[in-house]
Amino acid sequence: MVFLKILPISFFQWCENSLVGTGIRHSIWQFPTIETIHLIGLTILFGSLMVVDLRLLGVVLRQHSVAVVASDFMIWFWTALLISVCTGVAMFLSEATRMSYNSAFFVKIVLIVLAVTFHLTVHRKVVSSGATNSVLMGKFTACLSLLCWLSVALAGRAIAFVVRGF
Amino acid sequence: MHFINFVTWLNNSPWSVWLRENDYAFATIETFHILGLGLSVGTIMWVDLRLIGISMKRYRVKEMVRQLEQLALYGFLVMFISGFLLLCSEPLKCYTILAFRLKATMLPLAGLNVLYFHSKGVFGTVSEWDEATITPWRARMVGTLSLILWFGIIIAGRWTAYTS
Repeated sequence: MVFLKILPISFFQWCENSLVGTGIRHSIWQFPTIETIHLIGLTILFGSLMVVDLRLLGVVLRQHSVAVVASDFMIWFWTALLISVCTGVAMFLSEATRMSYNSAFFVKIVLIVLAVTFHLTVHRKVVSSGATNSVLMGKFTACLSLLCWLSVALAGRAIAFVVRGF
Repeated sequence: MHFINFVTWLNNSPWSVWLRENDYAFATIETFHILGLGLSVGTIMWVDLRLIGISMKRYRVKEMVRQLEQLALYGFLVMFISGFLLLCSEPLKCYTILAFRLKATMLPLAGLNVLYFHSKGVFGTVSEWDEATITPWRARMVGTLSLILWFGIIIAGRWTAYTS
């Protein structure tokens, strides 16, 4: 599946010809710089997510409650997500038509929507209600959360290697 | 024999060519490299922030170091092995360009920084400042250097990929 089957080609052309898209495409250093910031953003995103999920699994920082650990890392998670999304949108604009038929890109966007929805609903509820949950529920949520975001990363990496969509 | 001769020989060796030209091999190794990066830098940065005193002040230093450093070490192993294979796939390019030379300089420095942190003078005295918000200046220096070096390594790594 690719976005070109849902959205008209004119949308992608409009994105690519936007001020930001054109600017990035015509510069040799902007895209690599933005991608580096994207990578740093997702390192922080994964780092914060991993510590909270490992706390849910009972691997690290056991002396503190899940709710406390989660609230400490929340600001880092959302800031990192914001950085990743902004740089991601900028990279998309610079090569929108190529992304329109890239299946890995489609999968990545779907997975991000799923991962963020899961994070805002189940994950948030489980980490904030802390002790009232069963341990098993916490562990299950942690595994699912790690799996969701790991798939996002893998799909993201695949964008660079997928030449055509299906 | 000069080092460049060795690099050229390695660059032309069949398995280096295979790593370089096989799309799946390169893509798979690079993916592991990035996952290793997330696991190592994504965990060690919280220890660094705790040492500097920017964040995570609630947690005891010993607790953070003991629990997160081990994960970072696993991530580093994945990153190092996959990074070594990536280096083997493009030895001549890595030898020539500035970005990789910088990366190869920063890596041992980051390693020395960790060794210094675990010396008697720094982590050896942790019991005295385990719960302190403001850690000794040596610990703050180690944390700052670690953050600068690791994020420098990420930047130089990305820069290596983009230089041809």
